[in-house]
Formats: sequence, C-alpha cells, structure tokens
Amino acid sequence: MSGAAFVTLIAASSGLFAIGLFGLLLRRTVILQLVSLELMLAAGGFAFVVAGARHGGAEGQGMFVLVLTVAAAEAAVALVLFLRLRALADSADSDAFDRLRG
Amino acid sequence: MAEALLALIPAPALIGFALLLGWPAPLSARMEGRLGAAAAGGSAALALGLAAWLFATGSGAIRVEVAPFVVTGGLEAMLALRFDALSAVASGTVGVVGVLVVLYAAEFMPREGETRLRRLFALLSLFLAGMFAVVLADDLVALFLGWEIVGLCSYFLIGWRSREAAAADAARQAFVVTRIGDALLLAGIAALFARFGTTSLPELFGAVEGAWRGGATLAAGAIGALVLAGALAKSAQVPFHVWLPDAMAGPTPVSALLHAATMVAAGAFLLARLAPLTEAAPGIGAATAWLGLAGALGAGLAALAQRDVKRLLAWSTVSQIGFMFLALGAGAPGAAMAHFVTHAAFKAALFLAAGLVSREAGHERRLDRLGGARRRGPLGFWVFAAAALALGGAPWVTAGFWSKELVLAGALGAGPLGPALWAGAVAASAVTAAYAGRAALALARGGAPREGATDGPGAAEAAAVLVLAALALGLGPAAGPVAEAVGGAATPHLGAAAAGIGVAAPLAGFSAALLAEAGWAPRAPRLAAAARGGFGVDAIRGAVAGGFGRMVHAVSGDPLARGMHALAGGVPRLAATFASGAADGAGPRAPGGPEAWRRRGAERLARFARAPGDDLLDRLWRGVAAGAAGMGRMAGRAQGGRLRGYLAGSAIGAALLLLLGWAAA
Repeated sequence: MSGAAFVTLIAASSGLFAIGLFGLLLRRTVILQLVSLELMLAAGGFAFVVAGARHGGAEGQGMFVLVLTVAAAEAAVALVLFLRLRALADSADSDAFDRLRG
Repeated sequence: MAEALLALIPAPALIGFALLLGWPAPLSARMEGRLGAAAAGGSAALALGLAAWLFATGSGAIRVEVAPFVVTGGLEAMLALRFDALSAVASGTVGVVGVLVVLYAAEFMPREGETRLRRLFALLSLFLAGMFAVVLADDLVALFLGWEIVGLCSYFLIGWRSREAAAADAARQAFVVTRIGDALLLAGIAALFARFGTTSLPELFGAVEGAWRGGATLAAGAIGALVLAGALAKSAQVPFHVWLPDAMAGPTPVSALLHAATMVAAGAFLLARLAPLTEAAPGIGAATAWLGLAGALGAGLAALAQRDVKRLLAWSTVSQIGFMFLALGAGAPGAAMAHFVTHAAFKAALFLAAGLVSREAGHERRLDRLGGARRRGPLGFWVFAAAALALGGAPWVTAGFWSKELVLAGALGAGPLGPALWAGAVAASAVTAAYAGRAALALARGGAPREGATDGPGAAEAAAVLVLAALALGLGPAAGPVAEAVGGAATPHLGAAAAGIGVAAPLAGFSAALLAEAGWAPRAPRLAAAARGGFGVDAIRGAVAGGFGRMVHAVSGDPLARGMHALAGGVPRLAATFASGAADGAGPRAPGGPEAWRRRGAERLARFARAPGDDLLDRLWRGVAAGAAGMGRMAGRAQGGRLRGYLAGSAIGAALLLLLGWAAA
C-alpha cells in the first residue's frame, strides 16, 4: 500500500470516527447514540485493518475481529440498559437521566 | 511425581470454590456441605500424603514452579511452591483443621437456621486455598497473593451475617486493621525487591546472607520492621490486637478456622518462613519477642476477665499467638511451629465445642449462664474441658504442655535478656491456665438443664470435635520432632529447676481457677474492668482520638490564639491607660474628638480580640473551610448528571491531549 493510499484511508477512518463522536454528542435519543457509538467502533476497526495492511501483518485483522466481538457484547449490554432506563424514566432521552447531578 | 503433587495441593480447594460459586444449578444444602468438605479433604489428603512422604524418605525441600506469575521488565515472579519441613507441618495442620471445621459446619450451620450456605462453603474453600498458597509459597509475590486472599475471605466471613450491624462493623475493622499491616508488608516486599532484585525466597535468603550478615544496616532494620508489622497485624498482636475479639461476630465454624489455622496463624508462619531474613535484621528479633510477650501476658489477663465464652477464646488466641511470636523472636521457629500445631488442635476443639455447648444452652454465650453444660451435653463439655486443659498446658497429659515447654526453653536460650523473657512467659503460662480453668469450671457449674433445649450433637459434629480433642491431648509426643524438623537443630532442653517451674506454672494457674471457683477469688473490680476492656484497646482508641483532638486544637491555634488574646488584650488596656491619662490631664473634651476616636478603636480591637471563638485565627480557619466548601460547590456544578456533558468534556480533553502530543512531536 502506498503512503498516499494509507493517509487517505486513515483520514477516512478518522472522519468516520468524528461523525460517530458528533452523533454521540448531538443526538439525544439513546438508540441513535448507540448507533453513533457503533460507528466509532467501526472507525477504530477500520483503522486497525488499514494499519495491518500497511505493515503486511495479520494482527490488524485480528484486532478487528476482537473489536467486532466486543461491539457485539457491548450492544447486548447497552440494549438491556436501554430497556431498563425506559422502564425507569419512561423516556428515551439521555438528558432525562440526570439524577447523578452534583 | 512429588513436584506434581505439590502443585496440586491447593487445587481441590480452588476447584471446590469454583464449583460452589459457578455451578449453574441450585444445590441442596447437603450437597453444598459435601462439596466444601470434599474440597478441603482433597487438599488435606494431598498435603498429609506429601508430608508423610517427605518425613519418611527424609528428602530435602522440593520446589516447583507452576507458572510465571508476574513478568515485567525487571520483575520476574514465579508462582513457585516449596515443600520442606516448615510447609509440611503448616499445610498438614491447615488441611486437617480445615476439613474437620468444614465437616462440622456442614451439619452445624443448617441446624443454626442459617441460609446462604453455598456462599459460606465457597468462601471457606477459597480461604483454605489462600492459606495453602501462603504456607507453600516459595516466592514473596505468590505468598502475598495467598496473604491477600486470606485477608479478603476473612473480611467476607467475619461479616457473613451482613444484616447485623455488629458483624459488618467487625468485618470492616478487621479489614482495615489488617490492611494497614498488608500495606506495610507490601512495602517491605517492594523494598526487598528494590534492594536485591528478586522475590524468590531461596535467592533472597542467599542475598540477605551475603549482604546483612557482616554488618547489618539501617535499611535491613527498616525492611525487617515492615515485615514484622505485616505479621503483627495479620496475627492480631500488640499493637494491632484490637480487631480479633470483635471478629467473633462471624459464625462459630468461621471463628474456629480463622483462629486455629487460616488467618491469625499466617503472621507467625510468615515470620517462621522469613526467619533467615528477620534474624539477620538488627533488633527485629528482640522486638518480635517482647511484643509477643506483651501480647501473651496482656491478652491472657484480658481473657481472664471476659464474660463471653467466645470473647474469652478470642483473647486466648491473641495470647497463644503471642507465645509463638515470643519463640520466633527468641530464635526458635521450631518451637513456634510446634505451638502452632498444638494450638490449632486445641483452639479449633475449643471453638467447635463452645458452639455445641452454646447451642445446647439455647444460644447462650455468657459464661455465668452456661453452667450445667455437663448435664445438658456431655460431649461438648468434655471436649471443651480436655481442650481447655491443653490450652492451659496441663503437665504431661496434653499437647499444649509440650509445645509450651519448647517455647519456654527457646525463650530461656535467647541471649542475655532470655531469663527476663522466660519469666514473663512463665507468668503468661500461669495466667493461661487460670483463664482456661475458669472457663471450663464455669461450664461445669451446677445449674438445672434447660427444658426442651437438649439439642445434641450430630454425627459429623461429634466426629469433628472428638478428633480435635484427641489431637489436643495426644499430639504431645509430636511437638519435639516437629520443632526439630522445622528448626533444623535439636531443641534445647530446660534444666531441672526451669522445667520444674514450667510444670508448676500451669498447675498454679489451674489452682487459682479452682480457688476462685470455690469463692476465694480476690476482688479486684478495677483490674477486672481494665482487663475486660482488653488492656489498652480502649486506651489505644482513646489515645488516638485524644491525640488527634489535641493536634487539631494545636493546629487550629489554641495556644497561638491565647497569645494573640493576651497581646490584643494588652494593647487596648495600654491605650486605655494613655487615653485616661490624657483625659485627666486635659479635662473634658468633645465626644467626637481624637480621644474618643482612639478609645473607640481600642475598644473595637479589644472586642474583636476577646470575642470567644471568633478571633482572627478562628476566622482564618473557618475561611479555609468555607473556601473548600465553595470550591466543592464549584466542582459540583460540573457534575451536571448529563451524559452528553461528560462526553463533551472528555472529547475536548482528548482533543487537547492529541494537539499537545502533536505539538510536542
């Protein structure tokens, strides 16, 4: 992989990450925040694959598989939490859960 | 072969813990007890078999490296185990007491109406596994791992009745006090590693031998003191003895295990294991011996005045471990380990028998209400009496006598101060016999059997206490060989006069108990009250609290403030004198003149200085407090409770860090 291609792909991954981050910050619905979070994880995995390809190693892809597994587990936990929060506050707005205010 | 077996000793206990914790289906109470007993029994059988092999073949220590445990740049700690005479004696004792206590608990706890036994047996298994790790470890990191497991399990087990405030408090106290020692021990281990670059015990001993033998340094003393502090806290020795009596809030089998084999004995074992190190460090041996003697004597007197049978036994543990520390400090680890073995037998028997006696009396623990135990439940009473005889060291017929004699011999042989140590130990031995006799006699007292409360022991309970009582009486001949195997040298024997006094001391103590029971007790209510408080538990707490109060007072400027008051009071008085003098000389003046202005100012200054509790320093002090509160409020405002707010904060922070890194690169 050429240097230019590498930089382009890493930039794409960073862009994906930024989109996810801003989605997480600006969306208030918990489900859409979760989608943004998945986007960020995918961006990280993408960067791993690109870096692995750059160095010609398999570790990048291995890490991507790990990220994928973690993301799956995280999604399960997050959805359970979402259901509990719905039951607790009767709302899907993440700003409604502010009982930890100091 | 032997190496493989050695690595397997803690495995059954760990597997039992994992099964009890993780088995996905509910287990019957009987099954839980059996699993716990099988776990303890498997480990005990392995330990005993290996010990038999070691002593039969007379082979030296064996060492096995199970796995690399911590491997970083400089530190390579192996999970290494070692089996020599010391580990053989200790692990055999731990195994036997462990399996008997778990067997007893499997029958005792359901009859007490306790539930959540699965958790209890899981914790007991882990407790045993941790103790096996301590006694078998051949690497300080592995030893510390077991040490921490033991501490954590004792916290959970003391506070097992977590709905009772007293149990939760006792658990927290035990945890905090032993944690102080753990931290000091960890500091000692770190210092050893920093100095010698290894945590492996054989390498460490070699390095210490080379570095400290010639001329011991200050660093050697400091490291020895750290290790000693860790052992003192774990073993509830002076000055850390405060936690053990309150730890009685745990269930009876837990107390038996904690006192006899798994928790408090770990400190004595640590010093025996690290004997080459603590002996090379200057002054540590003497400190160990004198602190041990203080514990043996003080806790013995405290036990003499207890009204609750379990508390009496708790204080007696402090006292008996004090004997072990005395022997360790006197350079006789063999005698200490012999006493460790016999103490494990008779103390476990005492606790388990006390559990039976107490249940038969309708969950009564006060000594003066336990009379008539002989008629209500002969088994519990006789086992208690036999074990009390062993605790008191009844000459020749009990194991306690033989091990205590070894301790006395060790004390007498400890250098120039040996005779003083020996005299103190003889006194402590007499006190021990007095309180042991008092407890047994209190149980023997008349008193009608309670109706409908005859709740006789079950088969497993009876078997456990009988085996332990037999050991408490019959282990005597084993004490000498154990001491020789561990200590490596023939044990010194007492001269006829010293041996005679050693025999007379427990007899005197038992006679004193008999006399007291017959009504000839000397009345010393003040001493009794002091002893019940444990000589210094309250005093230490009071001193700490008082000292802290004084410190706060000093810092908040009480003496300073007094000085300021004097100064501020003097200035206006002076001013007033001048003012009145001037007024006298010049006659009446207009009220608004400079004179009145001066006087008003002086008065204001005096008011300011005199206002009680509101002088300059108080205000300064309060200002600091108010400032802290204000800053807290400001920081609290950042705590908006909104997820997105936190997220924005961390995103901005990460971005700034990235920028910083980029700029630095």
